[in-house]
Amino acid sequence: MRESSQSKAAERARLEQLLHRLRDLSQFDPPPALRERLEDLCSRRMTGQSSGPRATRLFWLRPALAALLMAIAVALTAGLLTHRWTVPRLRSRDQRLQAGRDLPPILPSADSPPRSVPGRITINVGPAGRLKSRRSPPVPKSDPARMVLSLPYSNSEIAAGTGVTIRVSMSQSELISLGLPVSAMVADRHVVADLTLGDDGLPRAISLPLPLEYLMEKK
Amino acid sequence: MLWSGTRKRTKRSKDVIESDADLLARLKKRDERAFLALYDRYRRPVYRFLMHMTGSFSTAEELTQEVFVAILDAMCVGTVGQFDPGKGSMEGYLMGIARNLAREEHRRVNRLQPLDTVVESPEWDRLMEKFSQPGQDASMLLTTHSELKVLYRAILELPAHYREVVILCSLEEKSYQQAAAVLRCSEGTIASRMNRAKALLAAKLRRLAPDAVNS
Repeated sequence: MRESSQSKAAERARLEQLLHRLRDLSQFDPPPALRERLEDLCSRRMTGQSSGPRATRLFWLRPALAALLMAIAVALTAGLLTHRWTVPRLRSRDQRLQAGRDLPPILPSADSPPRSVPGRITINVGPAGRLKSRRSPPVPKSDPARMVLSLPYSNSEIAAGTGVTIRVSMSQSELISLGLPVSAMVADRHVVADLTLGDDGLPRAISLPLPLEYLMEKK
Repeated sequence: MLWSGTRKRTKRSKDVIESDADLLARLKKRDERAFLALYDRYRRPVYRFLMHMTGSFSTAEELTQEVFVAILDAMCVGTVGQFDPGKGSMEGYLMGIARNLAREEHRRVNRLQPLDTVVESPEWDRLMEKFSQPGQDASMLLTTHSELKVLYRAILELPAHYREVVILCSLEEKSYQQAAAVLRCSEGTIASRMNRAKALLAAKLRRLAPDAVNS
């Protein structure tokens, strides 16, 4: 027991001695190059920092410039988009207006019967009256609104139809192929259409009573 | 032994704290000379601590630079004033940074270097340069050399928290109080870790030293 404690004490003493030796052996200094590097780095940083207080004072300048640039960019983008959106629409409106001078009015007057233009879809809402108020005049039940499609292959030289109209049923897919804006969801559904025939017996226009009248399918 | 020179050490540390405070005031003013004075004053303990912690001179050099670059960054940004001389010494502050960097480095490398390569490395040769002096008994030298080699290996093998205490208290000659300030724990913890570390080292010496001498 006593011997073991003595040996432990001896081990500890030897350990202390060795640690002391190791401490003496490991008295190293960092290389001088490290000091030079740090000195160089410090002087560079300090040179860079010389404008520090001014930079601190104008700390808002950078974000403000960034915000300004961003606002300009947003404004330019918005302007460009508006320009690209508006100009073609105005042009097309002008073109339509120019074309409209040579064409009959879309809304038929009380004296003249509705004339259709080949390839042009018109919506006949009945005889136009003088508007006395801002409220739209009530559409007479006897003359419902119609969607009129002049057929493009008609001969425009020949006078308009004789008023011979036959009622037919047409599938929606046929109407879509003619360019009528009807829903393509149920393409095989049949609707009631009026076919206006010309003097030559060829169809001049197709008119659809609005709202569309669907035919019940026979099962 | 550690407590015998308490009064003397306290007086010395008070002087250091005062000068640390002056140095800190100059650092706050972004004085370049103050930074270099700080480096000159504390480069040795930081470098040696990192050398023992990493077992590599090159890594210790790199990490020492990082420690002082961290101070330089804080000086430039203006956060060097966050250090409170009343709570601890500047040396403790720097050693704390060094300790964190050593741990990060250990985590980053994350692989165990074979100890033989460490002990047989140029570091060990450089360490032993001073050891082999002429006029000493050859057999005695050989025995001590072998024991030192085993001890060096045993220190590197110690868990980090024991190694830090051994390096600070035995190899860097810090008091328990100073080590506690660096490691941010109580002096009692330092004492118990030191006791445990020494027991581990003694056991390793007992087990490995005879084989090393024979080999």
